[in-house]
Amino acid sequence: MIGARAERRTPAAGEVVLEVDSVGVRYGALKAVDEVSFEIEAGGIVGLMGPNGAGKSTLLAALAGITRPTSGSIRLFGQDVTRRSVASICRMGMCVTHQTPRPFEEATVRENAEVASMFGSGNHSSERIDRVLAACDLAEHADTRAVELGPSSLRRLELARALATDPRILLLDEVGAGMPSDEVEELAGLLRRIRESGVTIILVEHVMDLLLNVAERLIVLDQGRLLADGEPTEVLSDGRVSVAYFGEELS
Amino acid sequence: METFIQMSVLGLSNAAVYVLLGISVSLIFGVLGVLNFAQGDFMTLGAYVGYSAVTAIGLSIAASVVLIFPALIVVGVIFYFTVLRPMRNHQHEMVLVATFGTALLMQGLIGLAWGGDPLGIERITGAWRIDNVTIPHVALINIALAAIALFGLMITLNRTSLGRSVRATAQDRIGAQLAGVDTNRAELTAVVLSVALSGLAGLMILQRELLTPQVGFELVLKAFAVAIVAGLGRINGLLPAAIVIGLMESAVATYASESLATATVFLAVVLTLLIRPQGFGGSRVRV
Amino acid sequence: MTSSLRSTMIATGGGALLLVVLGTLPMSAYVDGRITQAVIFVGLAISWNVIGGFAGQLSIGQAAFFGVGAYGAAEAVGSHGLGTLPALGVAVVLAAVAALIVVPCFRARGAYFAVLTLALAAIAMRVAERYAPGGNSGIFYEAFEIDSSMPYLLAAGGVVVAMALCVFVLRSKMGRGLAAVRMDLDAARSVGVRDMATRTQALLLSAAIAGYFGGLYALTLGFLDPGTAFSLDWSVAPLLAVVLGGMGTLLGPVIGGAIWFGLEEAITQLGFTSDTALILQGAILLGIALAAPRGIVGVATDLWRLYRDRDRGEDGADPPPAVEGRPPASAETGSGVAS
Repeated sequence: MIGARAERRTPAAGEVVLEVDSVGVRYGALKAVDEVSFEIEAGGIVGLMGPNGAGKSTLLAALAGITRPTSGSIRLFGQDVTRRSVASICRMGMCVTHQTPRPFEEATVRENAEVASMFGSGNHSSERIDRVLAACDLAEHADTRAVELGPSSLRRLELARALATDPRILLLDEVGAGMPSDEVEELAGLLRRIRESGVTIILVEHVMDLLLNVAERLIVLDQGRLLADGEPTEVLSDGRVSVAYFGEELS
Repeated sequence: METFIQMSVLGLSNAAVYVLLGISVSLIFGVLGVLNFAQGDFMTLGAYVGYSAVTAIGLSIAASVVLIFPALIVVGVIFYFTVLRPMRNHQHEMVLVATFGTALLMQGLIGLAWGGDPLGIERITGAWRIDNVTIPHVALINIALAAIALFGLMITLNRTSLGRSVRATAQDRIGAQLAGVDTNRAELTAVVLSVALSGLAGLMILQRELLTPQVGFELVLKAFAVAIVAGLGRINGLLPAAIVIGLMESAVATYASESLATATVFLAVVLTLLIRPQGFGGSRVRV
Repeated sequence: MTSSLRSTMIATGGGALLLVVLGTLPMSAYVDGRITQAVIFVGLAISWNVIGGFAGQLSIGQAAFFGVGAYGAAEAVGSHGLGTLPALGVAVVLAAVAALIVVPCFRARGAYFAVLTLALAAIAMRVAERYAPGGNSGIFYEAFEIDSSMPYLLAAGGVVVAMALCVFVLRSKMGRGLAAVRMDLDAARSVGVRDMATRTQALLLSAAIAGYFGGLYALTLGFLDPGTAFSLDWSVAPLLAVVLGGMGTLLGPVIGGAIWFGLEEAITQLGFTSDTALILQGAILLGIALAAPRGIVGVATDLWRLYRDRDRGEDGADPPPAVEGRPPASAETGSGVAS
């Protein structure tokens, strides 16, 4: 696909954009992800949850192209991306953020976003950068070097950079980790606004406040396997879920 | 057949030097994460100290170890505290630059102290002759020395608490710290072991060829080759890797040319880095 | 970025002017020759900076491209009777081809890449000893006339063009991609940067420039053998010069190259041995790595920033930039700083 720039169109609401088919990730004898299957439709916010070691981050990494699945297949916008690199998948329109922010330290906030836009979006526009920085509350730091930012600004920069690639699907890895609750509220609002602009969001999250605030659908993993998948109220009242988390059914 | 045996002896003798240097490199890489470009120059220093011990003081080659080890340990410790330790958290590229700079500095200092002309001692010239095959005593001595050193190292790493702390730190620094291992001391121990082995390699070099200040630096690339083929940070694969590379080099030198032999060793590095960068010495990281 | 880029371009323009003026000054043929060599060295340093500084891939194998270029030009003139410019063209092309061969090696990173380049350059020398025209004994060919001003003009012109290319690269999309890859390869990939393509382009440019100056160097000699063409010094010295001057900066290779060449000349003229040169090289590398990893240009920039911000006080001042790799304890600062 060198040179071919896929035209990035906006999928219709409800159209299937991501198909995960029996995906497995194995490290020797350990099955970090074990035959997980689901489909994601455009325009929603899907939460990916599970107790520690459930394989959520591994699955997200597999979707993003950071890790290669050892079995199964992943189709993005109908195309097989199982073996694609993370850069290629990003250019197709699915972008991932890192659990620990990894900014380009010596570059300014704006420059960080510009790189993402130039390479990841397929149509660079400084106007989009302005919008993204404003949305993520980073406009006033636009010319500050990333190395000088504090932790919450860094998290927002991580998100802004992903948004600058003009994604159709956003994969967020524990974006709410360690955030004070007022920021969680703001973040939830931001995520909803992002969703409204047509972006599908899949987020791996431990911060239940955030998850329950925004997710319209929950997928629960436990020990690499898909445990539950559906509306939040259904999933959370599923006895198996509380067993997975707490070891026992809650009344 | 005779050529084959001759060539094998030569190859194994080279392998003796390579394995010691390779372990030296791997020890430091395993514990500190740094590829030490100055490793060869520690060997050079050892060789030159040995030279002075023999010619200026009149010690026998074997006894010169008494001077070599302390000298190298002092220099090694200085190196650790002035370069390796302060740069522990620095950008990787800069640490490489620092070890490279150390290499050049040591070469220059050695050249200044001993002069740039090739130096040598009276070498052990005896050899066994069986049919048309000449097996130099020196080769056998070097092989034996390497074997003893390896044995000693294995015991140190496996049976002493310092040795175990080195292995633990190489495997998982944070885990080791959590388990109460003094990782700083482990690092220091690794450096000391590393330079001591390099010094021993220097002794081997002293016995078989003329010394110039560059002799170690020229060999360090081959040491890297052995260490990389075995897998940096892993001790177990080093002996087979050293033997294979030593024999291969010797074979090409005998049947083709010296230049190509060196090129072949480097080619081995290139191929390893391209095909299996983690080395061929096994799948788990172990020291 | 823009304003400092602009001032650098002004400096480059001024430097180009200086080179031109220097060229017209009457000088003994010997001094002229040395200055030409200095400019060639600066050119080699610039070439290293593209791969080592811009792309952040520490290479210790620049000698391979330099040597290939040298042999290319020498053979073109010696065996094929080509003129100077076509010969230099051959040098550039051959070096670029050599670079393409090296591209698969980009899978290695950091120390592995450094060792790889060292190995490749060493292989190149050994192969040349066996298979190059003239083998170990070398070849003779027609060099420039003693008092010709061609070598100087070609060297100075080459440096100006190389600098212009660097400026162009830095401002371009490729330059941004390189910077991103250099700062954090995985993060760059995750935002869509084609790191292989970007780094390959950098390597090609680096090799082409090195090949040009290698070819020019050969043409100033008249005799070439593998030891001269592929000497380890051609790999080490530009690395040293750029680290000294400031990796990844535009002026770093120029300043570092000029200073280092000057030091080496002084050492030779004053009669010191090559050991002194080695000690100096080692000490400089160590000193820079330990104390001033950003080199002369980096230190100067920091000092200038401190000076410029001295009135801003607690709130607006930048914390002094951290030693490479470690961010300072983060505190939100409100000031905007154009870097």
